[in-house]
Amino acid sequence: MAVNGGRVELQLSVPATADNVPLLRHAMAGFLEGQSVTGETAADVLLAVTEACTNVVQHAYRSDPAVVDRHIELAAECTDSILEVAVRDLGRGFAPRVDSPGLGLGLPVIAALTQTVEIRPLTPHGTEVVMTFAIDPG
Amino acid sequence: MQDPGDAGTNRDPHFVRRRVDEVVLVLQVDGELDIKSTDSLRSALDEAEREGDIVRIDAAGVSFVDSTALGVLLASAQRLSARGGRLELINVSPPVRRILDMTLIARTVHVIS
Repeated sequence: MAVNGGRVELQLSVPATADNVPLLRHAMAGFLEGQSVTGETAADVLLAVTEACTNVVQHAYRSDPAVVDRHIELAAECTDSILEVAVRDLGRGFAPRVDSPGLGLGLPVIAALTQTVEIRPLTPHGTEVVMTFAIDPG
Repeated sequence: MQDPGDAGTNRDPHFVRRRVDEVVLVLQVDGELDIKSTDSLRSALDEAEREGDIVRIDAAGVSFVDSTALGVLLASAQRLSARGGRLELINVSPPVRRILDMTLIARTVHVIS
């Protein structure tokens, strides 16, 4: 965790595997605890982050089996009343899955839990999901 | 020879065994349910479904559920329902309740307060 000009930040990059999804969630839980973000707000953040990371594991690198470096990046920044969390992958787009293992509810759940959510393409390739949450000042 | 005083006043209990009404298999689950634990959740439910038509998940020890886990629960609920049974969830904690309510999963999985 880094402190940068008064902002408190979290930056992590791990292989995009199912095993690492709880790892990222637990890291985020530790970050939230450090910022005194608790209760229902913390639960919402952890669920949204898990859904976003799970999307990366399930979809981000499927259409590009040659990619060796398959990582998820989790970044979080906390200011007075806003928590901003970004989940990034370096995949080359997402092909539709006819064999989708889940319910396809990841993004709707994220939308319901966040104040805002944006999905942005990264250059030269990749996707970033940026979520904001309103938090009580710790 | 029967005692004349007993005539018409038989108070011995009378038992008629009819049937076993419902067999409920209770599956106690502890921990966090997400993409990492999907396979083990699915295996546990598969085994439970082989043993009974009504599977009741005691979720008192479940601290986290996401949509991948809900997908496994929903599939199990649909299989049980197709053969006249059901999947139940009891002792659900507030954070888990949140995603259940959000996704209207209670339409298929019986969430018992």
